[in-house]
Amino acid sequence: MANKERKSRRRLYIVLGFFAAFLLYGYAVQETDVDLAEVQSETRRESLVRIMRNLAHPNLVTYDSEEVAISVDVLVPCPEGAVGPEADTTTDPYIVVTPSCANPGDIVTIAGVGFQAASTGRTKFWPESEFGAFRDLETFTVATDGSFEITAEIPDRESDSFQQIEAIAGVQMGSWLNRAVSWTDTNKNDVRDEKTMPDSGTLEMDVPALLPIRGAGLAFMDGEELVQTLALADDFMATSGPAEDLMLSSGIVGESEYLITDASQEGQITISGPAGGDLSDLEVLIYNPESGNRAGTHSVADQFAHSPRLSDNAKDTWEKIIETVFMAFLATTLGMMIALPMSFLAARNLMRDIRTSVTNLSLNLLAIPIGGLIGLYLSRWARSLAGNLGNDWLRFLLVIAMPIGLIYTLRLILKEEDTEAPTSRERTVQTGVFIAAGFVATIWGFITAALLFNVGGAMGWGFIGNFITILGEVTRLLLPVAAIVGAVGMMMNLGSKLGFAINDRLEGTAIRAVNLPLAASAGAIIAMMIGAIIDWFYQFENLWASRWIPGIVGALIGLYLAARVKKSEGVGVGMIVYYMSRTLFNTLRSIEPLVMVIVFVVWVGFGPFAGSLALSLHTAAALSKLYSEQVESVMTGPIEAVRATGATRMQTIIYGVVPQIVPPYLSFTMYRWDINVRMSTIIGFAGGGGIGFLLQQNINLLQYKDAAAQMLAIAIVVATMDWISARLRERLV
Amino acid sequence: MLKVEHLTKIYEGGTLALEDVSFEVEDGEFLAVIGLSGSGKSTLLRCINRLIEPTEGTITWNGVDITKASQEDLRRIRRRIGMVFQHFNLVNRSKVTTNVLSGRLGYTNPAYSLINRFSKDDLARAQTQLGRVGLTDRDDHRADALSGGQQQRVGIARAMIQEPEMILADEPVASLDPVLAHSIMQYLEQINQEDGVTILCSLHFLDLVEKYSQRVIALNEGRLVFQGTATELDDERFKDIYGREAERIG
Repeated sequence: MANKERKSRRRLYIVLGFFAAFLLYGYAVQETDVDLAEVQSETRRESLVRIMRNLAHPNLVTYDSEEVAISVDVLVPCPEGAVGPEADTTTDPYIVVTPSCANPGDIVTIAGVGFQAASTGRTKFWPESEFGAFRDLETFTVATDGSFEITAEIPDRESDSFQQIEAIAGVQMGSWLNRAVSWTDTNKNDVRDEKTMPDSGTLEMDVPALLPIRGAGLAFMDGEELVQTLALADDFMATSGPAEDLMLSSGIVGESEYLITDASQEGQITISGPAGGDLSDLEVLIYNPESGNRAGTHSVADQFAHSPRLSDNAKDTWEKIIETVFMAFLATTLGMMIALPMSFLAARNLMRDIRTSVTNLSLNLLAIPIGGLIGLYLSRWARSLAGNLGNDWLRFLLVIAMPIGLIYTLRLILKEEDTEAPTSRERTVQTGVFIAAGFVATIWGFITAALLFNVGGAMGWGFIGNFITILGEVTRLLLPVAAIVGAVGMMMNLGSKLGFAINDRLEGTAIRAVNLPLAASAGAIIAMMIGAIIDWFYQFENLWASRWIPGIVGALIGLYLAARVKKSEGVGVGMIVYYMSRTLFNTLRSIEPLVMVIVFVVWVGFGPFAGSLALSLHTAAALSKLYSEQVESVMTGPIEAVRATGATRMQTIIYGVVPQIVPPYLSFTMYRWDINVRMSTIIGFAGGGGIGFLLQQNINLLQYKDAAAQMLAIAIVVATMDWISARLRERLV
Repeated sequence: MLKVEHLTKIYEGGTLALEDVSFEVEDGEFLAVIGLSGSGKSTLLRCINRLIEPTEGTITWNGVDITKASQEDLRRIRRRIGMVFQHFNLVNRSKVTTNVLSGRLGYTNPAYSLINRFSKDDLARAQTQLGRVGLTDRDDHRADALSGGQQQRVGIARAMIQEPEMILADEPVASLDPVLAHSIMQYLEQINQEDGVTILCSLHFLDLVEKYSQRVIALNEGRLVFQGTATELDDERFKDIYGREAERIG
């Protein structure tokens, strides 16, 4: 009974579920403006076809093009009973207008024969009355047999004499065969000025012509006039059917002997001649098989000019894709460097167990402003000390000597094996030496920065010198930050030690008596610092609101914690840090780099630098998340084993966690690089440099063929990186 | 001497894993810990080196209360307690030597660990220990390239390089075949007898218990239900430990 009821209820739920899904999708369709009329519209489809075809033809190569203009007479208007002029069909290519006698507004057919297959062109009407001005008619695309046929409307221009309709078709010049050989750059000024036979004594060329080729010859042109036809295929006039072979004979041009040694019906012609012989005046003649007309003369030298060549678009694409790859590379590196340490803070399994006493927490929090100030002043002092050195040689000496001294001192202080617990005197000495070492290291950093800056400037070895200079400058800018971080760390360390000592010695009420003032002051100072940061954004200009009230609230929170938290439990600092870093990463990650780049463009100006900074920030956040999830999924057994040996938390991470996360870290980093390459296309839209800028420009200008080249470049880079990362992982996992 | 008094562990969520467990272990003793899966054996062993924080009770070892030790003292205590695990718990991607050397981390200054450095003495110790378990020629292999028995021997070498006074072995042979199980148990026996290391070893098979242990404690649902020698484990006691329905094998 109950079973039946359950069954029918389940059926009801399924029906309701379908109904709900129906409503849901219906609403979604309305919200997304699904419009099937647009999908089916003829004009839209044509545009789509045009765009898709353009995208399939990335603009990587350009040909020099030669324009062929053929004109034919027409009579407009057409008097009663008049007959229009007849077109000349004896030379290829030619065009015929029917009828050739028409009135304005009439539709005429323009048919062409003998044009280069698959080329495009346009037609014009030249009115007799307006000198040098023309009216555009329709455009045409030549079919594979070299013909085209279009209709056009005769414009409103009347004359008693003949007017002209002209067809202009672009003809691509050149082929990949022997492209650069026949041109020499004698003056080394990138101007190809000598047209000579290559050393091999043979040239191959593609002649753009109506297929199939039946006859070919060589001619010597003297200025505009054809002086001599030197070689013709013997059977070209005689046979009317398709001739497979061409009989070829030799001839003399000027003082040199040239020979057509081979000619294919596909238009590939091989010429032999003396190496270095002048080709400037040599022409190849091609004959139409049907009409017997000469289908064109082709300058041998021009065939080879610099055409075809990589288009400007291809060069720009190359330049920008390189820029993009390196922009993504820098961003990935920088982001990774931030994410590596941060990822541990955002790993739940590492942070969960970190609890600390209120004493320790308060002392650590108090260490932040104190350490920060100490770091700031010490770094300033270090800079002024380092700045007093006037000599690069002295700097060089110190840059070498100081680290040696430092390492030596540290090795004296730090025993490899800590067998016995250090006495408090030893601890004091150690702390003192650490602080001094930190200070000396900061001075060393400033000296190194100055040295790098000077050396890089003096070297002037292009990008390497520039890089060294920038390294110096980056060091100089980041050193105070590093010093502050170091000093805060050192102070926190001291605070922890003090906290442990207090907690070990005191119990119950005594510890509470210590904790209350400590926690109150720590809470107050941290809250005031947060208040100051908020004040920086919102400019309250009200000390009560921005400092004192937060200070009091912070102190109260501190007091509450000190009063409530049991000594045995402590505060779950680990999870607090975990949630804070997670929130930070999630916030940063949710801001698209497209938005970040706008801020950075304001700061550092347009270009790839802004782009890579924006990508770095986003990468840091994204990688931190990905990395930390890897840390969370490591095997716990080895960690437990390492912990059981007495390893400290840091040692556990180095020996238990790090070896396990190397492969996923590597593949995530590679994947992020790949993402950054793709993202940089978006970054470019907002002025962040890289290939995106070019891509966006071309899309906006409707130059889809150019855009297609950039898209292809991105696809190739992404595919290549995928391949490299696969290989890397294979090796390392 | 290890003295466990009124040890209780309640996990977050209220699971009672150990309830008022008290027993003593003499120095140099081989103590077997038996009981059903989930009876609290692993928890007990992990409470001793505080991989798991006990909820109540004290654990006194050589006169020092482990449960009250500060972080720094705990490091010094842990490094004298080796641990061997059922699933070996080696770092798979690290070399065998590195896995063994990680047993010295408790003695190594953390600053040196930052640059992945062990002292020359430690490197020599690692060779000695690997020699002792017959794996000298495998030191350069990755840990996961070894068979189960070899991995457990690396685990023992890692525990022994600590120069421990006590070894906690958490079902060290449960994932090995009977032949390997005996060879691993013989290593532990040798360590116990030649080096005088106290061994606490949780086991499932009573023949192993009889053969290797000097004394046995048994846990059932977190409570200590038996304390004595292996020979005292008659069928009645067996049913107390493993339940009325249980059949005795091995």
